[in-house]
Amino acid sequence: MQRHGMTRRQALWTGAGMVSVLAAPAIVRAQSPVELTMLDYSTGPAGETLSRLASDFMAENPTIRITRQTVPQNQYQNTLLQRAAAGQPADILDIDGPMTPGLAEAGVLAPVDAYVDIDLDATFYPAPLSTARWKGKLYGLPVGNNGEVLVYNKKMLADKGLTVPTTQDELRETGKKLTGNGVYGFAASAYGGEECTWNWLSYFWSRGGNLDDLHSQAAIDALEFWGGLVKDGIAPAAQLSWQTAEIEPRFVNGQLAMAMIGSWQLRSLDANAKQAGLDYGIAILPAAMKRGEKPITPFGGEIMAVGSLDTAKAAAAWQFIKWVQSPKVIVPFVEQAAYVPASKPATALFESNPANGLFKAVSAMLPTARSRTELLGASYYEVSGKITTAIQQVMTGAADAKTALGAI
Amino acid sequence: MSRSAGLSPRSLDARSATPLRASSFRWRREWTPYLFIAPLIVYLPAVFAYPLFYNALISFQNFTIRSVVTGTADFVGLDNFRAVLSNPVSWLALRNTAIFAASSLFFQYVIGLALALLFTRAFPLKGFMRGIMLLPWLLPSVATVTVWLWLFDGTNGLINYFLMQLHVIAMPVSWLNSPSSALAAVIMVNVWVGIPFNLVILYSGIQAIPKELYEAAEIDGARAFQRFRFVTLPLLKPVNAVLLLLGLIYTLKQFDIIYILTKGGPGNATQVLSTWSYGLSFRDMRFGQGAAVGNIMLLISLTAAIWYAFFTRREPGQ
Repeated sequence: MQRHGMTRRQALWTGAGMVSVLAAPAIVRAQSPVELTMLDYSTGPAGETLSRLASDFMAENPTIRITRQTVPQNQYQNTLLQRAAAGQPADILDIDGPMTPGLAEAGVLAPVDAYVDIDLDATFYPAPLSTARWKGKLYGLPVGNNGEVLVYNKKMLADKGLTVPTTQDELRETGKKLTGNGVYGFAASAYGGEECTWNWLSYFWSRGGNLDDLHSQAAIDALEFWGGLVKDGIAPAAQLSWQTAEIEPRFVNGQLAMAMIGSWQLRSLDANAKQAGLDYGIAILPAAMKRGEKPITPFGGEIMAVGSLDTAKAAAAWQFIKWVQSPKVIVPFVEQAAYVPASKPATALFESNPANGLFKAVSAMLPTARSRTELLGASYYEVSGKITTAIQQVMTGAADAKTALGAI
Repeated sequence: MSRSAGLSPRSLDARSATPLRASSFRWRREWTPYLFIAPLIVYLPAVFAYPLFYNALISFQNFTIRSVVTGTADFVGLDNFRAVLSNPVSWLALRNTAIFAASSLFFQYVIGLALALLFTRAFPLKGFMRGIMLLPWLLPSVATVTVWLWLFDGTNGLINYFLMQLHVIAMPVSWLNSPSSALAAVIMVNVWVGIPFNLVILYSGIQAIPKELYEAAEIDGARAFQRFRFVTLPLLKPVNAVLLLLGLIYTLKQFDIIYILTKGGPGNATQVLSTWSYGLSFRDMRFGQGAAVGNIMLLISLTAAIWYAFFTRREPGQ
């Protein structure tokens, strides 16, 4: 669109105009265009990317017209619920993955199984795909994912002759050796909220734990391990107030030798590390129990889902959602959102761009990743809140792992 | 009725014939008061009565995310209240709320009163200082509390830096990240935010005390402390009552300070009724239980308000 020297907004409207012109013969054939509403919370460049996707799609598919509506993210779920309550659901939704079970049960999402004509399991990584499903029904397709990775200060490791840890035991040992002289060996956000539970899940799942049994030995051991890093001074207690954005500067200025960082922060970290002259590396999480094993990690990301119950609209919405998945369309979207692709064909294209090397560890963990909501569905967030409380109690020494988990 | 005749435009003219004028006047006199209170009659039920009623209603319902769409929820009697009260977090939240409210009120009042007494004296830059003292109250709490978050930081915080420079502490303290100090830290910030309000109200209360009383006390030989103890304090009683009531309500519903600083953590150490209610409703999607906690908070505030109404009615001269 930019080759015409237009802004994206102008392009969108021109695109819409072209569609109506192109659609005119269709009306003669008594086939009026299908009008779709896309409801999302993307603003700024992310919003422009979505608008461009819609206009590009309309240029290729003149019988479908898409109008974007945007609401602030904190009002998104309420707006979806209100519109469904008023009998005016949006047709295309862009939802946070863990919202699928709750919105499906609330009747906000429409199943799309009837329209699927691609081999989903061959195309997508199983975990992201599973977040688009609930109770055997598919509601949309995953558009991209993010996750936490390990970042490490190369010089600090080299000075002590250490290698990058890959297992939980190695994380502890390496962290211990790197701690001292005002440097903490490791840090990971334990701030009250989703990131606290999320960060622990890798160490829990990689021990064979499941979210529907928090009284298991795996849960107790994982929590003991995770809290022990703080109790033994390898990780700072202050990480209970830090999110990824607060961990990044402390890693860059050399207060932290290793840290868990959300992949959404990697571009900022990279720019600041270059400016500070910091030589650092990015690795997959050292959550495995044995060397050579892959960690089982959680991930974040969005689902482009269908909300309309009208079959013509739902079919058209699916057509758009499927079109978005073609690698040349989805990769710019994923790059803009600091995601990695959820589909295997798009991953190949994504990784061919050297600028995306930052995200290699995220992609590497995705094949063995696990969905947070697969066992608990909509009640995941409630359990997650309780896990956060237990993690914080163990980290601060207020309770031991068994007692803290026993209260859940 | 003659009123129909009185509605002609001409009759509304004050210079028109006497009978018409009287009728128009009566119409105005009868309806004008209602017009004046009409906005309130619409506003109060819509903005106060309905939300209160709705909150009370859903606290007796199994109100879920699906209920938002369908508009219906099963009536479950007192189940939500039972679930909330049998949850061990409820007693922790209640205890934290009591400590938070009592300490906040005490320190806000004592420091506010001390500053109010200071400002009754003349000293250089008094007006400027009094303006500065209002800052915590004037600035948006999200901004000021975020600054407190940095000040309290366990590794790079300014508070730790100064205390270590002064050799008060040897190691950095994780103020917000230890169950023993987190509640004290959030109370400290709430006191800081609440002092200006106490200062302003107490200062104007002290200004309203007739100067003759101090002169009379002085002639009777009362010293400064006695003048404070036997003149200022008793005459501040009605001011104290409203201050404590408003302070209690403000402290009970205090949410943003705790939410920004600790989110109720670490491990429920700063969980109060307001943050717990929010978590129940908007994280756990147990809207009925969240509403039940909200109603318990309302009941506490209401008890205080009734006590206040009773107290002020018995005050002589009210």
